[in-house]
Amino acid sequence: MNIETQLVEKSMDGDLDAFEELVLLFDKKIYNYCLRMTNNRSDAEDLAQEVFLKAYKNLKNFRKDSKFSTWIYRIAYNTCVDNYRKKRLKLLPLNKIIDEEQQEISIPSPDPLPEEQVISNEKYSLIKECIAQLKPRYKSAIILRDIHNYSYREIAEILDIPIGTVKSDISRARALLRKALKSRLMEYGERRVK
Amino acid sequence: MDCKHFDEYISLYIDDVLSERQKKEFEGHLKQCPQCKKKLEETQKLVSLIKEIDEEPLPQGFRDNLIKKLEGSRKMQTRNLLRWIGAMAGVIIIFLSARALKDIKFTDGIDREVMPAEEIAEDMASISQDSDDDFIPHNEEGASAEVTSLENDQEDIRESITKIKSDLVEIYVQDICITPETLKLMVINNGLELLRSDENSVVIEITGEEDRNILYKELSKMGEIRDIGENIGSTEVKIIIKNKSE
Repeated sequence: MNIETQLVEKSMDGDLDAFEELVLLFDKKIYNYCLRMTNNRSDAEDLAQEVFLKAYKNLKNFRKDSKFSTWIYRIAYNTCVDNYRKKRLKLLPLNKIIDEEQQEISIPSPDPLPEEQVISNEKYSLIKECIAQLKPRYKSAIILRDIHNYSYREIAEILDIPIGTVKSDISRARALLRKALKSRLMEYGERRVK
Repeated sequence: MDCKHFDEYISLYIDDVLSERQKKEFEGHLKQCPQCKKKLEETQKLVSLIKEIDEEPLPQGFRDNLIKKLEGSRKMQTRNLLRWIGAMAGVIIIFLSARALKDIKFTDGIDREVMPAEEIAEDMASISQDSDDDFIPHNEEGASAEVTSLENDQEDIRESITKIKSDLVEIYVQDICITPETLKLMVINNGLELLRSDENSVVIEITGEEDRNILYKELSKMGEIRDIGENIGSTEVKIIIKNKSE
């Protein structure tokens, strides 16, 4: 039995110390997941704390045949989606969040990424911004695949969708990001030239 | 392969999840189409940029805050559990007290035998005359004394009052409306099986402890139960209706 399983078993028997050790194994990952989902440190902090509290309160519902990591990421995803829905209700009329229908971003020119014009740090903050603007399932798939290195199968389990959907979500999300980033980098380049 | 299919495969190609055949087709198109080649390169660049996004450290005090919240949540859960246990204990005590009071009214409090009507009348009269404090608590002290005496052999009482144990039960009713028909109706309503019946009794099939509990609960609503059979754990229970004044 590995350490994760042992800690889960103890936690399920009501051992809070064991659960706190589980928290230490996953808190940085879950915080960073929430951070990439929201691109906002303060929101990510609140959400990540909420994720662990929810997990603690619902530990009795954890099925031992699945992995704790999968379960905790699932809770994180659901918590971020709830948060996104709440915020969207507030923001939608003012700030158009890129949604499935309007996610096609026009490409002004087929030029390659004009990266040499952009300082590295700013380039990363542009990517983070673009990721955070995707719809939740797309960005979640991208974050889990490219930042947290999960396999397609594991992502399917976490998001509770078929593996074929994961494949098409990731393809679509990458295509959208490529186009969005290209146009953002071009805008940025033009501003710098002026 | 055309450019549209190529688009769909770019991502899967980068993650190396295409089949051998798909991979060959993809690479074939790649050689012929410079535009698609550029798209692939851009996507590869994008993926490597995303992979380079650094993991950020936890905000200051994140763990301390979380642990405080978790401990708070546990205290809350324990408190709720204690509250629940307290409430249940209250319900049980009230139930037992009510049972005890009922017993006291119709028996002498020690012997649970049912008494002839005259004796009950006498007893009731004497209770209301001089032994109020002994048997019918009017104040809280009296009530708690009653509860303490019950708690001493709570196990015993719980055991004896929650189910029908034997195969023969007499039920002493005051209400002349309780007839075998009433019992039959009760049997049907509770999904039990009626085996036989006559002018003052019914025989019910018992398939488990659950049935014995139900039977007890239902009979106790109708009158006073005397569980007098000798065969414990039989699959049949005979219930004889007796009138209290008999």
